[in-house]
Amino acid sequence: MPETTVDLSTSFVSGSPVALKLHAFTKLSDADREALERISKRVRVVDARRDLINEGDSPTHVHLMLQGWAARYKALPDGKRQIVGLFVPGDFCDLNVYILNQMDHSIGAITRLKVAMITPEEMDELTSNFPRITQALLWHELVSAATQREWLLNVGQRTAYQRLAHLFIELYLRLRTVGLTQQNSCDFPLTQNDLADATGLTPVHVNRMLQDLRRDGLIELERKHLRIPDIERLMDVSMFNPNYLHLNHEGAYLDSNE
Amino acid sequence: MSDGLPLDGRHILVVEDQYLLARDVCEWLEAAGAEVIGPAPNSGRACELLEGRNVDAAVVDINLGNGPTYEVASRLVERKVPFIFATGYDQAVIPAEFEAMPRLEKPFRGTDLVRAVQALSPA
Repeated sequence: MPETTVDLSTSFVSGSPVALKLHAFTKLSDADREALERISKRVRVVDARRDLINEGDSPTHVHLMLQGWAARYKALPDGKRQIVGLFVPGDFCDLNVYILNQMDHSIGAITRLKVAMITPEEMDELTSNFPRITQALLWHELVSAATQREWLLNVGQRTAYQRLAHLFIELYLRLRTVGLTQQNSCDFPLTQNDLADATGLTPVHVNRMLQDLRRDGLIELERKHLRIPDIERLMDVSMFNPNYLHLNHEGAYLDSNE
Repeated sequence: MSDGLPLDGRHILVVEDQYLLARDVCEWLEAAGAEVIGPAPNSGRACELLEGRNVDAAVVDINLGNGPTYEVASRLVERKVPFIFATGYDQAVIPAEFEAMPRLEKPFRGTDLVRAVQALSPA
């Protein structure tokens, strides 16, 4: 059996989603938190279902999700597309992306978004003066890459039923890390089409699998709200191992002693 | 089976570059009984899809990434296919020749879209 316990300590800390997320790695100081607040001041609002940035655009800022959900997607010339990642509050969309000339993928808003637009200068200032944040950001990028590997495994090897179950658990845990769950529930704004695009299934297949997951008492999904009656059971079913999310305070050696 | 649906069996071309929105538009049209052609993310693809196909109506976003474009609209007028402009927040001034075309302002709901497409008279 893989390890299925997750450190819940982050649920008891208050702060911005990004501070909560980085806190899953290491304990930030007040000065660290203030620095994160400072870079979150330039806010862009994107309406639901609109693109935040498109493939081919020249990236000028680092985006930090403050509110809402977004999807990273890639397209084929014939119009077929796949959602290759999801962003929730506290997630950066590609640190250092501004060193690239153009975006190799698009990011679209699932819900109305509030996004902090961080300049390269602000990022430099942050990483030069706040070494603990710098380490936490490296952790953030490693977790993003690990999540991408898990998604690849998900689409390649899990059954349709498990793929969806896995996606529900992952998002639930990611939202819990940033304080956006209530007991066993959370917002879940993805449509069945979005789920299909994120799991490589057809909408019809997704619809059937959701019925099965509901029938088996694993999820309750109503009006964009998810409830997971038994988290351990859903983890078992989806063969979920939370190790790739690295939520167990691996940066304890860096903890602020404030 | 789909008897009585407002867009039953009608072939509707969707031209929209914002993928998530395009997905919603297709879903709404299909739920209303339409057969969706597309979604086409750009003019080139839209014109390709129009070739040799029976298209009853179209929903066309004017802004396909690089500012307003009317290539698809012109082609639709040529082929006498009725259509709706789905206009964005970055609303451009619509040229005189297309001024009479019905518009639907984003963000719109599925019911508004279906009603607007239904109101298009068959050419």
